[in-house]
Formats: sequence, structure tokens, C-alpha cells
Amino acid sequence: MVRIRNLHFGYSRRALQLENLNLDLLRGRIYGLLGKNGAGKSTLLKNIVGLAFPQSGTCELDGHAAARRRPDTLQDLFFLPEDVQVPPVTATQLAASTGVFYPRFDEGAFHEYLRELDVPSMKQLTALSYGQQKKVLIAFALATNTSLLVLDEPTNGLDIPSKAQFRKLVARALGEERCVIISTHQVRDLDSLIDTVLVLHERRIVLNETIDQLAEQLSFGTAPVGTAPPDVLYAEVAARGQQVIRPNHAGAYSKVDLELLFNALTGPQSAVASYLTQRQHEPVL
Amino acid sequence: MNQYFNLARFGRLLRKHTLEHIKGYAISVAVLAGGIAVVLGSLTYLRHWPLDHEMQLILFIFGLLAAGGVFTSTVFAEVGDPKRAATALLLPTSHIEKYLVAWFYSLPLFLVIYAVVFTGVNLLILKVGSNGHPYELYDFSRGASEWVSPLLSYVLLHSVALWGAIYFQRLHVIKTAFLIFGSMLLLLLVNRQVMLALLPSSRPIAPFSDVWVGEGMQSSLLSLPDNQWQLLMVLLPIALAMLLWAASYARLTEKQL
Repeated sequence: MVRIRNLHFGYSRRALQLENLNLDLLRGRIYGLLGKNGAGKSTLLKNIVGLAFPQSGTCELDGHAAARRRPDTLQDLFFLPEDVQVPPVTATQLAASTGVFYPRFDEGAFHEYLRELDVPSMKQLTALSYGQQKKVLIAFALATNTSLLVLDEPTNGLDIPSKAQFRKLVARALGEERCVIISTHQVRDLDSLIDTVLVLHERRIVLNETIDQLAEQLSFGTAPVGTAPPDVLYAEVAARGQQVIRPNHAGAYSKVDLELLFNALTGPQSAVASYLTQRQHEPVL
Repeated sequence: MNQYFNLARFGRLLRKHTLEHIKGYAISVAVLAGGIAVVLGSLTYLRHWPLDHEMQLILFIFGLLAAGGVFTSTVFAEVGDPKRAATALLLPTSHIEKYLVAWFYSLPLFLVIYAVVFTGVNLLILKVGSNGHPYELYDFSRGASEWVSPLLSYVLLHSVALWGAIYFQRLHVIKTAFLIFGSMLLLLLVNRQVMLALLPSSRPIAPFSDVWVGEGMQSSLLSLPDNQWQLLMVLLPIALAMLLWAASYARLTEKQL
């Protein structure tokens, strides 16, 4: 679906934001793109959808350079930017005037999503609150049924119930033919939603693993404060003791703590990153 | 499906643009009509006599250049606004279709609407403000020679404004106006230096006009034959406009966020 090779990007030649990036994004997956503020998540997404052009390297969508913005490519992708501004029409009019550009747009599903998100479909979008406007566009994005759906910080501006509703809708809208990329710096918003984690840190992708692979390799748990448990790859003091990441030698299942993992990967001298890289290079017996 | 131009897709884009901008355009037409009424009405009142057809043509041209320049400078506002640009650029249509919608609205459609509004308001002012004096409504069918040159001026201005609309991120009108006046000043200065280098005894003249060479009784006028001059005055603005339209299109294809 998305194929990125040796991509270098920067708004000026001297200050690169993305450096020698290689990435393959597949259909049937929901990717969570995590990174600190200013790490370049939005920049990467813009390169993927063709809103920013690589200085060198390639970014292709189904074999076509994203930067060409071909209508055939565009009708099979939808990008929801972080900051949105809606046109002065109603949701119903939006479906009629813009939905026609997407061959698999499902107007019935759009109205169903709006109903579930509790947004009126006959009110001018400009008269809605920012959160409601965002919900309309999320509903529209899901209803386009495009193969590639890119959502940049979609939960910003949503209230707590809407965030839960958003997770439900995205999970429901995913199919075998669909690739969803969601960027966020609020990792808890993606809990139980994504199946693959991408972490962008210091201009590079430092993690590209499925949740299952992570649960297989790492064990997430707690330890009493002041103790130094053996084999700990990363420890972080929390309200009730220490939260730790260990190698999963026993093969026991533990829920992947995305926030802890993210902190471990973006901290100085990450042992977790070294451990995962080392595991990738071990021969399979 | 054709990746460059598809009539059905273009039609859908035109419909979407119209639906989303119809309210703003309706208000703009009302403001334009009001502005024309104020100018024509004030001049009629001050003169105590209906405007003659030459005056009507001059006001038509000035209004066209001013209103058309401002409007065209804003037709790509969506692409310059970071909040709306992603949606506008990623709409599944080709660059040429997006470009042609802006071009169509700001050139042929604007010309027709402006001409209709101006003529309507003009007729109203002539009727209301004539005070029984005879009046003559400017008739566009009188002769193309009168309005071809202003039309070409508008075409050239449109191409500059369209380029400014896509090139600048914000303050399109101000920056484009600055660009036009700056270019005109530069052209005057360069023209003078070139003329001095080629013909040291020439007098200061405007670009592309006739040149007086020599002094006193010895002076003579250098000018192009009439037919060549007329051809130049048609071809030059068209060639420049086409160049700028192409540059605007190229800029749209290269637009990044």
C-alpha cells in the first residue's frame, strides 16, 4: 500500500526532519504513529499523502509517487489533518458535493456514524462546535471507504465519550483491504485500537512492530520502588511502585503499555530499542 | 479514468465549488453593485447631467480592473490557508481541473457577471439621475475597437493576480498589487536605461511607445507601422498572460504544506 524508500525530508536542506526513512505499510492494519511534539509525525503523514515532497528518496502509494497527486490515487486515500476547517454546508450537503469524488463512499454509513457520534446532519457545519466539526469529518473519512485512511491527531478536540466512540468506529470500519494510519502524541487514545506501533524519534522510525510481536518479546509489569529487578530493560517510577519492561523469556502474555513503551524508546540510551533490534537479528530456529 | 482532465469530474468540482461559495459570491455581487451605484450616482449628482458613454466606458474599465484584480487574487485562498489546503489539494481531481475552476470563475464568469451588474446599475442610475436630460447607455456592440484593449488589459491583470493568488500564502491582494507596481517601476527604469544605451539622444518615454530622437528641428519620430503596433498590443498581453497562467498552474502542482 505505502512504500517509502531512503526518504529524506526537511523544510530546509540544512535541517532534516526525516532522514533515510524506509517503511512499508500494509492493508488490513491499523498503524499508530507515535512521536513527541515536533518529532515529524505530521510531516511524515504529509509525505505519505503527497502534501510534502521528499528531498530525496521515494514515497509511493500502490506504485505511484504520492507527490504526483493523481486523481486515481487521491480517490483511494483520505487524509484528515490535525487542524480542520469545514465548508459552509450541512453534513448532508457535504456528502452530496464531496462524497461523489470517492467511488466507495457510503452515504448511509456516513449518516449512521453521525448519529452514533451525536452530530446533527442538517445543521450548517460552521455553526457546530470544533469538536463536532471534527466528528463530522471523522465520520466522512470513515464513510469514504478508501484503502488508505490517514488521521493526524484525530482525537484532539474530542470529549472523553467521543474518544471511546471514535475507537469503536475506526475498529469497525477496518477491513482486509484498508490501511489506517493514526498519529498521536496521546498514546492512551489509541489503546486497544492499533495493531502495529510506529515510533518516530530523532528523524527515524525506531519501532515498527505489531502489538502481538511486542507482547511476545516484552513483558510489562510493576516492581516495588527502590528495588532493582533483574533483566529490567526500562523502569519508570509511578504512583504505585515502578512500572518496568522486561524481556519476555517465559512467553507469558502481558498487555502492552504503549505509554511506557514510548517513554522507553524515546528516552536516552534505550535498552528496549537495542533489545528489539537484537531480537530481530537472531536466527529463527 | 483520465488523470489529467475528465469532464464529469470537472463538472462535479464546479458544482462543489459553487455550492460552497455561492453565499459569499452573492454577497460580493451585492457589494459590487452597491460600489458601482455609489460611484456612478455620485458622479451623476456632481455633474448634474447623465454620464456620457465615454465616461461610462472609463468607469466600466476601472471597475473591472479593480474588482477583477481583487477577486482573482483570492480565488486560491483555500490552497494558501493551512487549515483548508490539505482538503483542497487532496480532493480527488487533477491539478488542471482545480486550476480551471478558479480560472473559469475569475475570468469568463466574472467578466459576464461584472458586465451584467455594471450595465444594470448604470441603466438604473441613468434613469433615476437624468432629471429629464437625454442619456445614452453604453452599448458594447458599438465596436470591438473600444473595448478590446481594456479586455486585454484585464486578461493580463488576471494572469498576474492568479499567479499572486497561488504564489503568496496570505495578503494576496496587497502583495500582488505591490508586485504589479514594483514590476512597472522596474520596467520603466530598465526601459530608460536600454533606450539611453541604444539611442543616447532619445527623450524619456513610456515602454512600448513611439520614440522622439534628436533635438529641435533635427528631431524625428520612431514608431512602428500602425498594423504592427496593433498586432503587438494584442500579442504582447496575450503572450504574457499565457506565460503567467502556465506559471500559476505549475505552482499549483508544486504546492506543498
